[in-house]
Amino acid sequence: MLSVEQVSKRFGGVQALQDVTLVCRPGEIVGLIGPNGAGKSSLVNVVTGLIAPDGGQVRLGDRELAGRGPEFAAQSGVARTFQNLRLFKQLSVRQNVEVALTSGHRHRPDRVAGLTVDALLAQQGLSDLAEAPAGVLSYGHQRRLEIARALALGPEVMLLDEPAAGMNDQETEALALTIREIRDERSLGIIVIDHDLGFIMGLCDRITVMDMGRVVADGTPEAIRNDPVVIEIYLGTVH
Amino acid sequence: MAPAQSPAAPMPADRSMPPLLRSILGGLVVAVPVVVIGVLILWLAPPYQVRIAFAGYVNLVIVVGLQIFMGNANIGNFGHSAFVGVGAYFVAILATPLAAKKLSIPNAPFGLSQVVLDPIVAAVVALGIVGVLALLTGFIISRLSGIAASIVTLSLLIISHGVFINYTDLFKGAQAFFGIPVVIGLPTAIAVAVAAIVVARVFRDSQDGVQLRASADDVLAARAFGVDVVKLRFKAWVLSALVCGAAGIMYAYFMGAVIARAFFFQQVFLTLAMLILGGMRTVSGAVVGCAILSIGLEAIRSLESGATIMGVKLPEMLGLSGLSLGAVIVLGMAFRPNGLMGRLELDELAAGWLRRLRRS
Ligand SMILES: Nc1ncnc2c1ncn2[C@@H]1O[C@H](COP(=O)(O)OP(=O)(O)OP(=O)(O)O)[C@@H](O)[C@H]1O
Ligand SMILES: [Mg+2]
Repeated sequence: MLSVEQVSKRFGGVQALQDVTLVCRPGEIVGLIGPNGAGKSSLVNVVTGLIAPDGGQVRLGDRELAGRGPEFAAQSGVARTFQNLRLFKQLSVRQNVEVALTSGHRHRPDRVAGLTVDALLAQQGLSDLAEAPAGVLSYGHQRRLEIARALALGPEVMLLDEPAAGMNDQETEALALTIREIRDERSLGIIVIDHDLGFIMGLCDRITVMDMGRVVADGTPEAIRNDPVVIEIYLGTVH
Repeated sequence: MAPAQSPAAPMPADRSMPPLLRSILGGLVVAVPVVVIGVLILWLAPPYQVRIAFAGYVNLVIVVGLQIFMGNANIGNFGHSAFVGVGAYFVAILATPLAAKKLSIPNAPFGLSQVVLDPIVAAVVALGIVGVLALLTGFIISRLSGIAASIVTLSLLIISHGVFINYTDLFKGAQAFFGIPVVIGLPTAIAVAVAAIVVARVFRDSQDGVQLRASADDVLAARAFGVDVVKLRFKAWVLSALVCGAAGIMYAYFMGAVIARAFFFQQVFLTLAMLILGGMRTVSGAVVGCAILSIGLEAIRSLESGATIMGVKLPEMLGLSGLSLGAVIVLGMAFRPNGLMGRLELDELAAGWLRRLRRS
């Protein structure tokens, strides 16, 4: 289980995260929403070790991750996708997945035992593109490859930072199916960030709402939909 | 899902073959022109041209060595000639007969003026010394990135040159160190070049090589997937230094003499230009760049001394080769930053063409 406790992070004058607490259990899909600049990506960066928090704890099982660097988080079983697509552009699609499959499992060989590059690519509909350089793929394919690469780590927890951005309705729907399939197949926790509320509400077991670095609401999609605080700060004028 | 686009032309690799074998065979395919050209030279060329060709093969080994670190880590390296020099000087120090040593380095420390090793043993020891220096310098360089790392490699070059020039008891200063046993010829150089190409290719295709190239594309993403960037840069640095050291050893054993200025800026820029021209992302790029520039520069050198073309006597054009070298670096960087070869090896390109041919 991933548990984030009281995490804070300040960038110059911006309090990107303030006492953020969140859990994600195996087999659970947690949505993370909030307006631009709310601190969602910063939270992902803290959990994946790319940013050391000013305070607070990030635990996976009984292992403390905060401030121990991205390699350690990856080796411990935390995988992610990037909002701004950070694939290995000059490597082939296949090699992008291979990198994660060969480097990210030093402490957990059992988690990747059954994984193969071909199966991961097939699951994301990328088999035909296996030998193409990642940099030439369409946005939708790149987002899919980000997911395949994250799964190749054999993660305990996977954080998807706006995986549906740039996708059309059909692609978004297919993506939701895939994410559920992944959750059912392996017992891993998934945290999904997105601005598409329909997508998040339909997909997630639980939703956490952030604003200005703080968690402002947390509950089932049903509860979040009707939470007056959420309606005010997140949905603004929508009734 | 949309089908593959043609610019991304799926490049087939025979996945039924074990990866190591595939890499070795790929490397050998790339080495074919290297062997063919070498055999033609041995067969047809007069001795003075064999000497020129030998220098070309030394450069080839250096460029391939340079590719191992620079191409996979994507960090500019200006210090590789330091390892070429160390390799060359240490076989000179260890393998030169006593009579010649008495003249060149009578005051060598550690009783080295009294020691003469068998050339093969000397080569192994020299390579060991290169390895130790690579371990020490690699410890620092692998922890740096971008410009900082490149500047450290540059200072390495300056330091090594300073030591060669000023530590006269051991390196004989700015003068040539003569009397090294001449124990190899062009065939050995060709064999070493082929071996270097295969080693570089196996590293490039290995898990370490792919992970290092991933970090060259996006270091943060690579780290977020558990890639130990420092360790991989370190490995590539040491391997690269060993190959460059081997080039230096070859040089000394063919020429019979070494001189410090041979391992300085001129060599660094020549080999860098070769790698940039061919493309540093592949071993094929190193080979192609070295071949084109070696042959091109020979042609240009004949122009430099005032050639006669179709009855027209051209004037002397001193400095033309230096100018061309600079032009290759500038134009290459500007118009083909990935070099002539781009991201695929020669055999990978050929396999792609074959498959498309078969399909149509
Ligand atoms: N590395 C950084 N250095 C400085 N400031 C940063 C950094 N990362 C994030 N910030 C700032 O922290 C705040 C939160 O940014 P963050 O990217 O976490 O928001 P977000 O919720 O992901 O927004 P979006 O929906 O636009 O992706 C913003 O004000 C941002 O400018
Ligand atoms: Mg964000």
